[in-house]
Amino acid sequence: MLIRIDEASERAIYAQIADSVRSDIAAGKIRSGTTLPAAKRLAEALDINVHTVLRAYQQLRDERLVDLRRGRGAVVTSLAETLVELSGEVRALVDRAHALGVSQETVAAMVAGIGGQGPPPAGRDPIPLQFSKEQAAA
Amino acid sequence: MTDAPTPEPTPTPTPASAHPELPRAKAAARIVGLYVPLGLVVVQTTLYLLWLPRLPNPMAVHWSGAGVADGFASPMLGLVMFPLTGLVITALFFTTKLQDVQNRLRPGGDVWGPLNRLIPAIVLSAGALIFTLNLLTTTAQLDLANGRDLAPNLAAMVIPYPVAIAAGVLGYFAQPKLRIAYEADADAGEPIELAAAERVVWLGAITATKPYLWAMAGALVVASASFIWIVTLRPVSVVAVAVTGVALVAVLVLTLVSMRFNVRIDERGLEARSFLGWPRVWVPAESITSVEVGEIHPFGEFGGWGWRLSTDGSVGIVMRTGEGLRVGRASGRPLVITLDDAEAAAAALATTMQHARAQRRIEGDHS
Repeated sequence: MLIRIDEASERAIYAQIADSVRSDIAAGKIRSGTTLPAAKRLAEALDINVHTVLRAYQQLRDERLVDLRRGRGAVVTSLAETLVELSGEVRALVDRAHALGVSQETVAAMVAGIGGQGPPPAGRDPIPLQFSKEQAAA
Repeated sequence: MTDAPTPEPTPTPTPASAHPELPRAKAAARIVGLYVPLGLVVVQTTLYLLWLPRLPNPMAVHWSGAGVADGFASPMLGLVMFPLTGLVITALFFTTKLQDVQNRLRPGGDVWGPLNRLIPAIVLSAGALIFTLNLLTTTAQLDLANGRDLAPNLAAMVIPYPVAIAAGVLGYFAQPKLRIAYEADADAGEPIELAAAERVVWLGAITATKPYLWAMAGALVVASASFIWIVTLRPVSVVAVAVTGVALVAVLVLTLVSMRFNVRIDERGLEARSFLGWPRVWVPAESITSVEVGEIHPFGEFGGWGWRLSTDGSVGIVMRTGEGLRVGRASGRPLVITLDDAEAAAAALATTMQHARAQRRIEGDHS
């Protein structure tokens, strides 16, 4: 698992860690069922506070990409496979936008602008999630 | 002030396929480890046959540590036992032939290392021990009426050992010093371009595969069975119990520690640490001379899976055939590890190496 962080960047360190993990998941390098390194190990390697790493893992949990279970660590969920599938479509979208002269930032802003709270597109099932009720509530 | 940093010493690889020194080294190994020991067997058997009519019956065949004869048998026993022992020892030379099998299991030509010199020297040393022992104990009994009349002779028990050591040392240094490292088909790791305040780490693990665990389970069964068998033998041999006990513990420990090695690559270097905390292989950033990614053939290079040493001197933590990392070190043996996503690991480690070099350059300019 490759993690890059830039302390000079405006993006928060925890978000950068989450970005690195997410891109490895989307690239198919980290598969569902894989346990992410212990937060303490990663914090030591990056020479940062362990809470920053935990915050990154919580971020990924909020995205339902990992399951945080006491004693088992951060386990990548089956959403990982969906992300791999989706990444091809995202690439196609970015490529098409590029061909039309629309920058990646603009596309990102458009995606962010749609908002995550809306209902899933008609005629499509929501992304399958294997989550217990307590975890969904947490 | 120094004007330019000293260039890195680049190891010059020698083509493994057609090394001009290899035939000479092979011939020397064969002479030291096979022909001379066989010659010793032939000579001692011939002499023994010539002496046979002059030997007492029974003759002394076993001595206590103090050089007093305490076992007696027909001279025929020595006629069989000495050549047989000599031949069994000489047969150990053929363990080096395992390398030919290994060569077939990976691409590239021959490799050659200190072990190729050591095995023939050990064979010669053991052969010389038997030869001297035979000669001294037999000549001492020539024209004796009965082996029981033999005077205590400590010298005959002591002299063979310095002779054996001398023969071994001579045999080792009589062979040319030659090291042909395995030339792996590998690509250098490409450093990642980083911003000024950017850092990169790679975390992963070398995990035991099912075939490895099966092999270790098999070894564990054999080791336990031999230990139990040895313990039940009467009289109890302390040495045998100790040897099999140590073997059992060694197999157990090796199996346990190599279940999983956690690997961490950061700006300090590379660390591969067993999940138990020990052992720990540590390569500091400053000592890294090369980072390569490529196919690793555990059987072809190391003779098997696990935490191992290769003939050409590399240390390997190798659990399966497939992608992995080769790390050159300024001091110490090259490290070979099998890793998933080795490409990214190599990139991270190459970045570490580059960063350490840049750091050293800055320090060099300021001194």
